[in-house]
Amino acid sequence: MDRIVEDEILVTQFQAGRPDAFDDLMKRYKGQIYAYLLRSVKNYEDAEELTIEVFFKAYRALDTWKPQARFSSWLYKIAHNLSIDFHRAKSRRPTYSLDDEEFIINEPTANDLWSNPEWEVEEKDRHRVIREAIDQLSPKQKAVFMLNRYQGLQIKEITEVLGMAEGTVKIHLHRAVKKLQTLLLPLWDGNEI
Amino acid sequence: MKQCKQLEKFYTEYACDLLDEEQVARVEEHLHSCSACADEVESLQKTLRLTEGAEELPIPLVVLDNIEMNVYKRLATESPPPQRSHFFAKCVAAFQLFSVKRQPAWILCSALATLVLVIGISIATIFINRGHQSVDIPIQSSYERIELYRQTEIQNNRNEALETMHLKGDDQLATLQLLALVEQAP
Repeated sequence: MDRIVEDEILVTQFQAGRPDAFDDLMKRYKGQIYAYLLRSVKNYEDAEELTIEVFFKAYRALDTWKPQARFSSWLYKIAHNLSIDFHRAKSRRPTYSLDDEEFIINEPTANDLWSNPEWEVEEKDRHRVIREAIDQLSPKQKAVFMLNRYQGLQIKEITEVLGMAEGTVKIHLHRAVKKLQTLLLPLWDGNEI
Repeated sequence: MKQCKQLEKFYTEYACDLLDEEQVARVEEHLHSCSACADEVESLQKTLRLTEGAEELPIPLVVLDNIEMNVYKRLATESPPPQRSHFFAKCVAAFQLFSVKRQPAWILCSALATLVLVIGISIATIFINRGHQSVDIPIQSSYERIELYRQTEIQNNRNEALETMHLKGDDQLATLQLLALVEQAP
């Protein structure tokens, strides 16, 4: 059965008084929402807290929710708005950033005989440069890029999440990719991609 | 050259696999005959490939396992959203209606008197009901969900322990373990 139809059935069941239907909805989307928030806030604890908040808000509002968009788009929309609030609040209170420090939990070690610490350090550096390049995108470009490239959302779904017209989403994606193309040019030298 | 300009806007979407079959065929046909555009598309694809690996973050499964439980815990601890009082909204609307239409003073006075009376009754009802709190369905269901998760967890632990003990061939220890776990259960 189509995933969208399945979601709608589960929502209808929830609204008809079967609260455990929400469990199935959470099981379906918790991974995706958590991954999206983790990429956005770059901190495991905050991502977990915000994921709980997303489903908390969804549970509260699901009784009266009318399917004008896909359920998944609605969840992403809540997550996106929460991440905006998070970044706004964070910019007001300067805190120690975990980005590039605790964020990367897989530190290269020499314990594994097959591992190559030098290569891993290079790879880590390369990833840092790419993350920094993505951070240089405007908030809208970054949101469109992340939703499409990392969450696998189609343009139509992104319009529902961000409340933008299809043309606007395409323009943001185009500009994001072009900007990254320029920013990541130095990484191409000597790299077989 | 004219065709390059026309198709240029599709290259990002082409690299992102967002075009339909017809558009893909049109773009590819042009790329076969134009090396400059082919280079540009290759460069975009390279950029996207570079970004693919960089954001793959390890997701701790234990966190995901606990999401449902934590959501229900949160629902259970926080009170439901305050229901907007339709009563007050109606009173305000009625008052505004009277004010706007400039009704005679006696209508306004009787409306105000009714309003005061109804407010009095509402406050009295709140005080009377204070002793026995009304049952809230979402909260109750949240507690039920938490309890269900707890029971499932206990059951899983019990099964796991039994399995381990039987594998070790120590039936007596398995029975003791089972009894201890049964005691844990409410």
